[in-house]
Amino acid sequence: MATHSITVTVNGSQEYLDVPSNLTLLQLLREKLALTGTKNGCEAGECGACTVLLDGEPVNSCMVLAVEVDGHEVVTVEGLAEDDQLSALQQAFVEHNAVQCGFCTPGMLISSHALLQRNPHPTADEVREALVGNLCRCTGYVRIVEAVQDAAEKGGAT
Amino acid sequence: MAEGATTLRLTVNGAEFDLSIDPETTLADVLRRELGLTGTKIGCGDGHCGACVVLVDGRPVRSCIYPARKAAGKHVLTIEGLAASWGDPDALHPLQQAFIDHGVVQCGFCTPGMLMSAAALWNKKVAAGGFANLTEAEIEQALRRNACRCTGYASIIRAFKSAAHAYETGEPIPPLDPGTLEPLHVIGHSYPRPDAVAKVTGAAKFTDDVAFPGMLHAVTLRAAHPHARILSIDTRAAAALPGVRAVLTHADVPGANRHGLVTSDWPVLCDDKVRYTGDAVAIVAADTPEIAAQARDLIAVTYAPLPVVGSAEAARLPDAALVHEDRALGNLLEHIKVRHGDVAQGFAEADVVIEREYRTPAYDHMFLEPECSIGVPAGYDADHPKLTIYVGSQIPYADREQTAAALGLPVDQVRIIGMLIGGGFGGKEDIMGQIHVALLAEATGRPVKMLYDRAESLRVHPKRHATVIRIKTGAKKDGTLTAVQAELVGDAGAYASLSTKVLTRATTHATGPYQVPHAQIDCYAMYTNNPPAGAFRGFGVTQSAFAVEQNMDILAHELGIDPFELRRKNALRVGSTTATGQVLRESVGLLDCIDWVEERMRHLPPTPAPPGTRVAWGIAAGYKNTGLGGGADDVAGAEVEVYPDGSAEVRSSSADLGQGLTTVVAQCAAEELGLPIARVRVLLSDTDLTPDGGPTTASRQTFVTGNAARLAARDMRERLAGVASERWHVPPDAIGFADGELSAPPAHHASFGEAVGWLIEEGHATRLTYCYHAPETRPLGQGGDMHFAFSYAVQAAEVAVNERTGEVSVLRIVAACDGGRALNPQALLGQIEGGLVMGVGTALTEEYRIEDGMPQTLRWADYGVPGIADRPEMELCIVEHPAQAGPYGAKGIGEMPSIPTAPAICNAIYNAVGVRVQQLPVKPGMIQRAETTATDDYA
Repeated sequence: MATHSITVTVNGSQEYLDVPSNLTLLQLLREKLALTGTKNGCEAGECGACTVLLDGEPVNSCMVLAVEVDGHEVVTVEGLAEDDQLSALQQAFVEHNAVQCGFCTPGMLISSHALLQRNPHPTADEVREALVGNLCRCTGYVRIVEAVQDAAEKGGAT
Repeated sequence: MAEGATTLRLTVNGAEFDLSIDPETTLADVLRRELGLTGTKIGCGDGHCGACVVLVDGRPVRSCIYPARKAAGKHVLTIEGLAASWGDPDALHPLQQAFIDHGVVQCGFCTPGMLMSAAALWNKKVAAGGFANLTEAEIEQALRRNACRCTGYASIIRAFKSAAHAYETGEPIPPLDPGTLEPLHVIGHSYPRPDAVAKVTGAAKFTDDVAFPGMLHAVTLRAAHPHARILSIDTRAAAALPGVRAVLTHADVPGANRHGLVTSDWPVLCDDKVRYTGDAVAIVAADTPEIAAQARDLIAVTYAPLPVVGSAEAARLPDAALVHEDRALGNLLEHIKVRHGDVAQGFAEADVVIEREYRTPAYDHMFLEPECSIGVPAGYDADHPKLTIYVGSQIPYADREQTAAALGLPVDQVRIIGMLIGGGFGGKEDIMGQIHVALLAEATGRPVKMLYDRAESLRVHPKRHATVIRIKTGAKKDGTLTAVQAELVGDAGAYASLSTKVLTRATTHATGPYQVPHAQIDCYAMYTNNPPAGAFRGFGVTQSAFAVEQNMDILAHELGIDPFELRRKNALRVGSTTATGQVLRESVGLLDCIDWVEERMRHLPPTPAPPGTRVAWGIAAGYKNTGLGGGADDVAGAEVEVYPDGSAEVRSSSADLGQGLTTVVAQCAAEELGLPIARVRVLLSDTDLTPDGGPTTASRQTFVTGNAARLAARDMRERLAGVASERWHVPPDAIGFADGELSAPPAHHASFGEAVGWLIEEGHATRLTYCYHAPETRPLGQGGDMHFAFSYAVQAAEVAVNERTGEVSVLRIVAACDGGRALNPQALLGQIEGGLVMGVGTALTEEYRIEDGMPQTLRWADYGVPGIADRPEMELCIVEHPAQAGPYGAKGIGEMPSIPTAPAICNAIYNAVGVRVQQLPVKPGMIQRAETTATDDYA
């Protein structure tokens, strides 16, 4: 397999990597950078557990090839908190019991984060629409929607 | 047309064929089985190794996974047609010629696929106007999925560039000249292998390339559990299947149902228990491989599973299950001890003591050619008056002895005919299918072929020993070593194989190539339910060197002494005593190796670190015995026969696994007889026609069979000089032998052939056998010479470590190796380059994984053989400190190059990122995790 040298900014730090052509962004994050917060739920772009921000937009990282992110910026769930201080969104997820098994949580947080970035005060319907690509098997989604709206009230995306 | 068959029309090497085939058939099977084009090889059967590459309409495809029907209407080009595709079918393709000239061809099994992949690039470049803009990256890209286990790939790149250069300018690039001692007439010159042309044209025959009329195909039923009692075996349904000719179990073994090279503990067919998943329970011969496999699946075996002994450490636990229940020592196969001086005193004198634990896993040889044997029953035809086995084996006479014992026959009723060997590296010393095909041939009265696929090869043959090594090294402030204490626990697997020998070498080499006044080393060879462990290039020393050389670097770091200086201070030299009490009297080139490597390393321009990586050098040294040693009578026989046409033939049962023994033997005889090398033929590995050369192991054949050939030829020369002396009335020692002539100037000249005629006229024999006994050695524990020679090596490896991912790449290796004397410099380079790349695999990519007795590495792709892009830049130096008893000063070289590589790489990793990796193979996660948790050691 041919390999390619790429440069990518992940959670603010620049990484220089040699990647095979068939490596996905998800594999790059989990296997090469040990950023295992991003989860592999279906590897088919269906469940959203692997959602990360690519230049600020949520993408299913299992559906993106590592070579495609050369020169771009990626933010994972590990990049949401600052200096060990949870973001308002993360804090809201904790307080509202929006976390049960926790496997969908990283993708949920990233999609919600992206929503609040472009729409600081979403309606419940807008939250549900933004999270349509993120499946959760535990919560029934109610507390997740509450948490996102609470976070919006308390300070938007941050 | 058979049921379900389909027609296929295709063109192969310019000829059109109309075939009726099973729609599932692969192109490789059509080529090999239907068309008899056996130049195309099958190494893995999974489309990974690349040995099967052919061109379909000009594009390289992996014919072992390419459905033949896809080739309908297309033009297929195989190795057999390559020369003609370039123009003249009687001249070689430029790439074929370059492969020969640059010493690429070793075992020759990857060669056809390698050449076809190279030819695809060649044709593309030619079509695009030529090679003016050829880059190394293009060659790497074209060959990236063709595995070679012998060459280390460097010569392949050189050969391609040379052919391209010749295309552009008319002049090839001369082969690399390593700069060795002034050559003699023949010795010291590089010659291509006598089988090189056959190997680059696809004409070379390996065992699976041969078929006999009426030949059956055999398969083996392997154990379903790593450890279980056999309650019953029912073969009735299998035997009743149409097309099945024999189904045999332990009840059908007429002689001894145990074989083994040292200890007879390995069942031919299991009776009481199975002890690993590669154990053979029953064997089947049938009209086709497919029927045989179907019958195998009909054999019903009931087992009572037993607790599995999954590792050497588990085997030592007091409540461990017993792998062999009748042994007084339980699972302990042998406790091997080195005692030298007084370690308590040694550590008391030390200012610094370093103690660490190291772990090495099992490794597989991954020779390109899987095991294959063909048995032909006694009296089958005029060529086979006795039971005959065709097999690529490292020890034909041991095959004969073990086969005869199992069949209850005298040894002279069995003949082993050695075939070309597609790589061995120690992995073709034990019995695999030899006895099984003999049993089936005798039972059916027909020839029987048994070919392992890669999965079976991985499951069955012995591996390199997995070890746990706890080692303590003491030194004074000035760096002088005072003591080494070590405990090694080695996983011998289910049967003894060569474990006691291999682990003895690990033990006796555990002080490294250094003067250590006090040493206490204990090694425990343990039976387990894993695949047996046996010989593998390095023979135990690979493992101990990994531990010793990292402890040396830790010591250098603690003492603030340069790692070269620490090694130089303690290096073995003439006059030193080893830990087994052997005084080295000659041929110790270690200091020269250290000096050369340091000089080169310090003068090479530094490699700029690729972004995100840190780059550093690391070094390691090593030594390795030549020959069996330890008190064994190390004997090799060679026969020389001379002919009136002025030629000679040398015969020995020793094996050429690709390392180049054939050429070395021819050179030794040609040198003594004064013949051009082209007039010396070599016949190897036939127990009826060639004297016993002993095992091809322990880097011994150049030394022992080289000497046997040299001395047989010397005696023949004396015989010829004797008859010439009488005719010419001159003293025998006044007669010179050179260029195919005898002469006593000024008056007398005769051609070599004429002189052979005189021998015949006077009733002298034209052939003679010389039985060479290597200098005497003594068993471990008795002091004196445990070995008659050692080779030495020092390597520096430059690595780039990605700080974020922990990924390691080896950029350069600078290597010096003292092999006594280079008899054939090109072949020696090939051994070193191949050894270095195998060492890179040992360090970084290779691992044979087993969990609870169940092998997890079952395919080529699961293992991690280094590819062409994994090879570092290599700078080599051949150091020559001749050994007096060696042929023209030569010592063994086969194993030495791969020994220091892994520790040099690990030392370099430490120097780059400060992480000490104490477990092989190095995985990115070990470095990444160690950095994250900020610990110094990862064990």
